[in-house]
Formats: sequence, C-alpha cells, structure tokens
Amino acid sequence: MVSIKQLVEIITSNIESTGFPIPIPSEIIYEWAIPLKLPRRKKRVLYTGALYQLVPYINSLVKYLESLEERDTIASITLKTARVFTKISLFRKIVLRVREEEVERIYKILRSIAMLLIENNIDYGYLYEDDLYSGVLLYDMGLEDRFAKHAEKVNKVFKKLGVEEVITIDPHTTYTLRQLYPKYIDRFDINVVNYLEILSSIEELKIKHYGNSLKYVIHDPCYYTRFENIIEEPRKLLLRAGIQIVEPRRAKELTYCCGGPIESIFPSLAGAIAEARLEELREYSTQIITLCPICLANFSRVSQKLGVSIRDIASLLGGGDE
Amino acid sequence: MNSKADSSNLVYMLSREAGKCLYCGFCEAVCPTLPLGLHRGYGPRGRVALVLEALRGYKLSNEVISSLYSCLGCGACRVKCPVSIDVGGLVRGFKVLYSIGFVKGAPKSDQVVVRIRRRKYGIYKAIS
Ligand code: SF4
Ligand code: SF4
Repeated sequence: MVSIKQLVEIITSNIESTGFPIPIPSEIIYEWAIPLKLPRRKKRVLYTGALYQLVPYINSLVKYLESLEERDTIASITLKTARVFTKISLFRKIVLRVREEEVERIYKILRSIAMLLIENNIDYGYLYEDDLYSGVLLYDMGLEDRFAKHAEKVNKVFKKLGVEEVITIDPHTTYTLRQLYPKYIDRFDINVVNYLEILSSIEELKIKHYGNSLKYVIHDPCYYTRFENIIEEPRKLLLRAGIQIVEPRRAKELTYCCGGPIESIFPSLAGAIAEARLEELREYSTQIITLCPICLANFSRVSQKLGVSIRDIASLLGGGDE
Repeated sequence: MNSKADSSNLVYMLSREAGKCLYCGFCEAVCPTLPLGLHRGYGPRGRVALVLEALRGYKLSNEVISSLYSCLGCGACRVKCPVSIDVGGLVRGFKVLYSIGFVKGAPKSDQVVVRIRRRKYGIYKAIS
C-alpha cells in the first residue's frame, strides 16, 4: 500500500530528477518557439514555466490512473500508481499515449501569446531550454525546503542570463513568482508581469476583431481572481476583440475551482469537480473560455461527455483555430 | 523548516489562525470538494477543526489525512469567511508539518483513501 507521503515523494522526486512533476520529453518545453525564431538574450523574457506544455501529459497520466481505478481495488491501484510514477517503461506509456494534435493545440496557444506580444511591439526574448518549471507543486505539497531549493535554481538561471523582467502566461506561475519567490529567495528582484496585463494596457491594441459574432461563457481561474487580482484584464481584451462574454453566477472573485490542483493525487475527485463546474457553465453557453492551463487540462477530460467545448483565451485572441 | 523552532512557530501561527474560527459555516456553500466528500473533512469548516485536532496532538486517520490533502487551496472559502480565515493556507501548513513528521497520523494511516459521493446515483466510490 502506498501512502500519501510516498505518493508526494514520488511526484516531487520527479521534479528533482527531471525538473518537471511528470517526466516529459524536454524538447516539448521549447519546440513550439522554434518556428518563430524568438531571440534568446534579452532583459525581458517570456517565461512559460512549462505548465501549458504539461497539459497533454497530465491528461495522459490521469487517464491512465482512471483506467486503473475502473479495473482494480483500492489496494492494487495505489501500488500500481507507485509503479506508474517510478517505472521508466510506464513513463513511456504515458508519453506515447499523448496524441500529436493535443501537443499541437498547446503549441498553437503558446505561439498565439508570443505573436500577440510581437504584433504589439513588445520587445522580449525567450528562454528555450532554460524555461524551467516554477516548482509550484512542491509549495502546494508543503515541501518548504525543496520548494526553496527549486526556486533558487530558477532564480540562478535568470541571473545567469541577465534577466530583469519575466512575462508570465498562467495564473499559477504568476502567483508563484510574484508572491512566493520574494518570500523564499533572498533579494528576488525580478519584475514579474503577466501577458494579459501587458496586452490590456496597450491603447492601440492590434488584435483580430470578431465583429461580436462569438459568444462565450468565461471561467475565471482562482489564482488570477482571488490571488492576483487579474479580473478585468481578460474581459477588456475579449471585448476589444469583439467577443461577447457571458458571466456565470460564480464569476470573478467568487469563481468555482475546476478541480485541477488535485488531479494527480485524486483524479476521480478532480474529474467530478470539473463535471460539476461544467454543468453549471453549460447553462449559460456550451462555448467556454479558460485562462489557465490547469483548467484547460482538467476540463478537457470531461468536456466531450458534457457536450461543451473549451477554448483558451490566448488562441481566441490570437485569431487562430484550434 | 526542519528546525524545531521553525515548526513550533508554524504551529503557533496555525493555531492562532484556526482559533479564530467561529464555526459559522458560511464558507461551506462555496467549497467544491464538500458536496462530493463523505464527511465534513472535505469542507473548510471541518478542515479547520481537523487541523486544530492535529495541532493539539491527536493522531488523524488515513481518511481524515486524505480529506485534508484533497483541499484545492482555491481560496473560495476565504472570500465568504467573516474573519477571513485562509483555510487553503491552513491546510498547506498542516502538510508542511505532516511531511516533516511533526504531526502524525494514526497507526496504519498511510494509505490514500478518498471517498467521494456520486451525486447522480447516490452511491459511493473509493478511489486512490
Ligand atoms: S480552499 Fe480548500 S476548503 Fe477552501 S473552498 Fe477551496 S477546496 Fe474548500
Ligand atoms: S466561514 Fe470562517 S469562521 Fe465561519 S466556519 Fe468557515 S472558516 Fe470558520
């Protein structure tokens, strides 16, 4: 029988050995940026923290864990879970189950963000293989020392590359760098700005206009609204793009969590929470906008079953299809 | 965080935060895990009470520990709380103490057991 402590240990030792909570092929972190030829060394850099890139792999892992749940008793599931995380062959199984189009969907979102910034004359570089994971899961699991060590490692890379400002693209990484790094790192002096904040502050924004032909219900992520006060920025951008927004009953700082934060330990519970939230959103529209890769991952698992479609804000603003 | 002084300080801070709870239950309606959980350890008010028990030295069962680990840290409860208790932060503090062995589970408490309510059919399913 595996214990919570062991399970936590398995996930976190992955972070220590590979840098990421799930073992993934390292090139998927920066492969999306290669066609764009983003410059390397700049004082201001785009920092993805790899969360978007992890989405297809999280989904694959969770699907695998759920298939074990269907078949087995608790005891054997937990044992197998331990093996899933530790055995290289099973890692490969997870990686190989990821469909090409899922990875491409994520790449498109990342490219949309990069292009929106470029088209609006924001000068920045990209970190490529130095685009490290922020370590947020170590913090969530209460592993203080390991989180501090990981944060130090990320900060050292920033320093080595002469980074002065990072542009973050998701709520968890934004929160981690803005609120947590200053508490855990001596003299953390890197400026952290979110891409939605940058874009929404541009007066003459260059953005595709949909002519009010699209209507979406918005799902706010907890960490933007309750922890980072990023509430009006996405709304402003969507309105500028001529997209009609429907506000659900639980929106803004009263939003309802997608269930994602616990998906790697309690996949069924995370899935049931996603279903509950999507059922609520579906009453407003079957077209749903998400702003966070964790919401995107957890909702995507059950969206088909509930007959809704999930769209990330960046791909919509970027004007591309998915 | 390994030093005893650090841990005692954390225990003090968590006890103070949890001690503010009025047990009014205003937080419960907004918690995403509570409607699916089998007991109040899946909701903020229950989590505050359980963390306090752990800080007082009670050994928690595997089921209780799992219910604490199922907290999303989403912060919805804090918005509704009249004394702004950060239950997500409180639970994270518990995890810090649990992971370094400062608070302990009961014997045989080391398996992952989450029991959720299947809303539509009214049956329960145990998952890992
Ligand atoms: S932070 Fe935890 S206890 Fe509070 S509403 Fe979210 S899941 Fe429930
Ligand atoms: S709303 Fe605050 S004071 Fe009331 S039960 Fe919940 S945590 Fe305690």
